[in-house]
Amino acid sequence: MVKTNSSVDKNRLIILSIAIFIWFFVVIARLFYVQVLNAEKFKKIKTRQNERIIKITPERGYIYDRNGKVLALTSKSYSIYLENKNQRESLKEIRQISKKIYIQPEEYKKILRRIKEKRRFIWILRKTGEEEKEKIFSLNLKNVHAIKDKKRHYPNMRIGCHILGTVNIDNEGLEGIEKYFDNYLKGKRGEAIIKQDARRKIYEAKIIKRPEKGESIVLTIDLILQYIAQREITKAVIENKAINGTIIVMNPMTGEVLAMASYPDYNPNNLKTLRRDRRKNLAIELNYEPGSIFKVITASSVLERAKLNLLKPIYCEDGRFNYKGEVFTDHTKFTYLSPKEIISHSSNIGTIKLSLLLKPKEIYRFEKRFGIGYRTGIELPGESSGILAPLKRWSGVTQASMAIGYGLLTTPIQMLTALNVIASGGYYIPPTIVKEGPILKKRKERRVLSNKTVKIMKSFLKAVVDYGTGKKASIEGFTVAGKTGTARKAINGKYSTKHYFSSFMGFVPVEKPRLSIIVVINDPQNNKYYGGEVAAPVFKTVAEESLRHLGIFPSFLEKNKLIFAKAEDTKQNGNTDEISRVN
Amino acid sequence: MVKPPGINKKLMVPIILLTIIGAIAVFSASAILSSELYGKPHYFFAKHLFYLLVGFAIMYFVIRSKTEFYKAPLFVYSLLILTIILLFLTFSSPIINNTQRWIRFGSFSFQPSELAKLSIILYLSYFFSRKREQINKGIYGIVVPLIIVGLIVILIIKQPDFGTAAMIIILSGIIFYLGGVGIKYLLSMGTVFLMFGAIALYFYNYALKRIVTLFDYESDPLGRGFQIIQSLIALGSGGISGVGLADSTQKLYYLPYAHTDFIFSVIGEEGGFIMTFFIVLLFIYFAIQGIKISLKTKNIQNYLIASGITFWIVIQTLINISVVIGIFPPKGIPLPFLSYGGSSLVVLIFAVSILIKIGSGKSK
Repeated sequence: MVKTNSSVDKNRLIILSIAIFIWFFVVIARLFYVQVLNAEKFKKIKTRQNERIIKITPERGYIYDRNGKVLALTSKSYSIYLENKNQRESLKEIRQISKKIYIQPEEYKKILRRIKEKRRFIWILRKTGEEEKEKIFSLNLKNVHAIKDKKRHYPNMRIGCHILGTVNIDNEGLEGIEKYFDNYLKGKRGEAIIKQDARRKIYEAKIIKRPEKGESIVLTIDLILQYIAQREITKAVIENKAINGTIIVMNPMTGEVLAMASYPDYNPNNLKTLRRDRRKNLAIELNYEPGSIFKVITASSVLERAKLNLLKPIYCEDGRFNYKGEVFTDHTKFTYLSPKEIISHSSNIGTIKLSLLLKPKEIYRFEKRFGIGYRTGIELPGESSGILAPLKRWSGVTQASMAIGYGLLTTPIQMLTALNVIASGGYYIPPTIVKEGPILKKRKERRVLSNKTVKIMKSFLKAVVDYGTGKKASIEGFTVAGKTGTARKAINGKYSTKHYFSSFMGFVPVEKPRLSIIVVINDPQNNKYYGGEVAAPVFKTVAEESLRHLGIFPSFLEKNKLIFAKAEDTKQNGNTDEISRVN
Repeated sequence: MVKPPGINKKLMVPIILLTIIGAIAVFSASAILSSELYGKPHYFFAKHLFYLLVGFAIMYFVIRSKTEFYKAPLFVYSLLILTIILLFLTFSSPIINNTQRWIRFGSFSFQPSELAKLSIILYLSYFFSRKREQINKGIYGIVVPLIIVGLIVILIIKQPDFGTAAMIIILSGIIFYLGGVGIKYLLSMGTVFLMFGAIALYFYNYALKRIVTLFDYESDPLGRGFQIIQSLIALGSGGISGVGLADSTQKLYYLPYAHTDFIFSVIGEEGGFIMTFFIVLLFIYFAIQGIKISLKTKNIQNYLIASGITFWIVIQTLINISVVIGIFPPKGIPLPFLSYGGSSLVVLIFAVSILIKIGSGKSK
């Protein structure tokens, strides 16, 4: 025993020292275990914790109209966020920002709430321009940062919204072309490995795969025609106090859609306007009973299949016709009408009688050949097929109702494509909206009507505009063919006498059609409801302005060589070509 | 520094090496935090160097002094009373992170609880060497030091700072033990402190959570166990040779107290097992030298002071490292000579200079 002067027992020191050295040994063993034996495991945990693979969004492809005008583009933008480290500082900074730029009150409240909730990362403005970013950064706030972003921009605002659709905040296509061709437009994502600190701040980044820019698409749309169509349909819906309305403008010879508009519409630059009742592209989504415009299909089928004496009048039962217990009426009490008059005056009873010249099977076959009950296959999402009941489900009066456009559902694009059969000289040409871009489907044309039928039908439809129900569609200097429709809406299983679908479809000029247009107005409530009064004037305005824009001149101008020559001098090459082809 | 003859160089070597490593590690671990808080990377580093300078200046005067002032009753009692006054003063200081541990002097702050460790060691050593007859009077003989230790512990728990309070209890227990207090008294005192501790923990349940964390940290990686897991990730990912000086990524806010309590993790990440092992060896060497001084000295007061200071530094080191390697509950105790923290550094260097002075054989 080691003893000092009196009673201190230094063995106690030895005991403590031994305990200490055992502890040292345990520490070394543990360090060896963690740093030598398990180093790989902890390295992996660290990688998992610090490193992240992030996707790099590529630039989205542009969308152009047929003349190369930009309809949708991707621009550089900035998303600005606040790093909320200290509540008082954050509140001060956000107050400074709100003095410099406009933040919507509800957005501002949301930001304040998030600061108080002590969220670390708070968006202040998403996808804003260079100018706004510079304004904010001129304040030199130390907790405000920006991330480079890409913003989809639609320079023409509402024009063409239903065709183009829009994208969400992550640049994914939501509607229209943006959705239908999303895979094509969006390009290929790149990848980068980023390393982040515990506050998710990136301190190292390495690109491992470069993003590939999305491909662009050229549409068949003509921006000017689209503007005209959209302006007129908007006006018509509002003036007629209607629920909604739609219009399609096509080149009937090629099946190209030149314009397609519906109202109500939205601004694709502002997702908040994308409300349920506004986002619908009625031109392809509206399922409705077409009414009298369907008589075009009935009459064409009868002319094609039945041996009909065009000069022999048909008795129209003085406006009231009881067929198999179902009563059909006309808007005017007709006695005898020729087939041409039946169409031009839109007699229901006359059309039914014409239809009954064919067997149901024959009518059904023609309806299908006209594309009724099938999607046209246009390159847009959400197209409806309409409903054409199969033959075996037809009742005794089905053929009669169908003859005048009831008892079946069609879409506006289907009806216009059917009309194009006549305009194009007998061919069913599937509609298309893409001029250059991915070729998804081969559009197969088919012959539906003979030249003879086409010729007769053109004269019938010209009579509608010349002296029949569609007089308001006539355009000075042009020959116009068309058909009106005033379809009663079925409300709670009964046909209403107060609510209608008013429509008009037609093409111009009759001899060598350049444009075909359908206008559908849903439930006009401003004292007028006939298709000839509500829809035909829209057709007229749109057709007239569109023809002028396309450089298609009235026939009396063509004959005046002097004016023609003068026009040729002043117009550019492309347009003189258009003029010379008019003859 | 001019070193007087007869100085115990064996003790100087580990201290100087540790303070150099510490200063480098503090710079590496604090540069980013410092840049963020003060706009310059060397704010903490500069302060650390300043405290080192103050510490070594004190060391110079202690070793050069002709007297063994640390044994004089006037010095011992003055220091003790000063400590208690300062501890009371902490309650008038601003609350930082729900605690009141510091007294501010301008831009510098002082933590009296660090000074308390040295005061207690000096006081108890004085008591058990000069009043040896008291030990034989049973529990009544040691009631005064018990009251003084109890008062200081209560004042520190009130801050609250359980780590330092526990450290003082352990140190006091060691000096009671080395001073010759009977085992049965020590055991009963231990029991009382345990009960006392349990009650205190009950009232300050944050400390209880820390203890629970030890046994359950992997089940709750984002809660209390976060620090320990991050510390293990730092150490483990350092491997044998480390990721390289200044290249720690765990200090990027994954480790909450990278330059203070968890400096050892950053050193482990940057320097690997080679560095951590080297540091542990330096402390073992220090422990051996300290114990040697204690064994050699013939004076009871010197014996108690020397062993008290040695065990203080060694146990504090072991507790800090044990927390960092996940075998001990988080305590909030700095690593001697390495962690950033002015009060701790200055008081430790002061203490170690007393130890060197005792070891230099100038005192009989």
